[in-house]
Amino acid sequence: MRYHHASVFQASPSPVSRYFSRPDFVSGIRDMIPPLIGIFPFGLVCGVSAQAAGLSSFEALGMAMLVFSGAAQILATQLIAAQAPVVVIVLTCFVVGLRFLMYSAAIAPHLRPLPARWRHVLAFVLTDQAFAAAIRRFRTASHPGEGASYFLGTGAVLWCAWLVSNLAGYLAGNVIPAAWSLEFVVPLCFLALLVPALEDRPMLVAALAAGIAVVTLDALPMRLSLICSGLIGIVAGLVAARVLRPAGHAGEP
Amino acid sequence: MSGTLTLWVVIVAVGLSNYLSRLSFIALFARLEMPPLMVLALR
Repeated sequence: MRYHHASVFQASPSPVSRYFSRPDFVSGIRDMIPPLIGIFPFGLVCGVSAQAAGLSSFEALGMAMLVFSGAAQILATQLIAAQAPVVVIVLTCFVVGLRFLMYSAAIAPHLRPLPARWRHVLAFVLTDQAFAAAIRRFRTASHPGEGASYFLGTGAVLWCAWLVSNLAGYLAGNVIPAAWSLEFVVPLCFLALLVPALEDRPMLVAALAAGIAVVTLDALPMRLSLICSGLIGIVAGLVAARVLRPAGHAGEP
Repeated sequence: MSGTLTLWVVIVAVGLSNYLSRLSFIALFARLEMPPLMVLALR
């Protein structure tokens, strides 16, 4: 991953602040405001789930702050309510979060030039929506700091909105009828972020294969369909890249 | 172990497990070069 370093970054004093770009950070915040329409209802559902499981408001907020993952939080609260052993809860949430391994691998080359402290902070805010937005920004960035600052902006606004929505859901409790199925807004907003990233035919093939697989494998336990369909999409994308590769590019992977 | 303490153990452990999943390859490929096939697969 090579970048042409802009002079604005080189003039900054410390290794950490050298990579911070305020305009990109603000741009990340601004771009994440529309997807909050989908995040907020999901946070409300998580707050309701925490309240139903008997957590205090402090515990519910602590879970939202530290876990920062809707699927893991809902599962954890359901298992807490069922008085499942700690090991079972942690392992179940780990399996549900396996998709983060794919996100982590995909974004790793872009974060490589950054100081370790940047990488550690950005790893914490690596969510579905932040990944989909940041990966596109990294591809067009001329300096790693641009993409990193943008990523930090998306993550910061998502994290803040996540805490507010969880707390609101906890306090609102059962005011929100379950029949509204508000959590369905989340995949819709994620799709709106993801579709513009499909820039060529192999990516489209990968997305289609993964989409078909996730519906087909929906019966698998612990949402294993997510990681399985992700792997199927990767293989399909690789095959498509080889089959659809234009003549004269035989030497490239 | 009291109920409240057990709950906080769960919250911290789930949070840590999620964070380590997110950090895993970011930390690994900060030290190692990613294989070209993997770069192509994950682009």
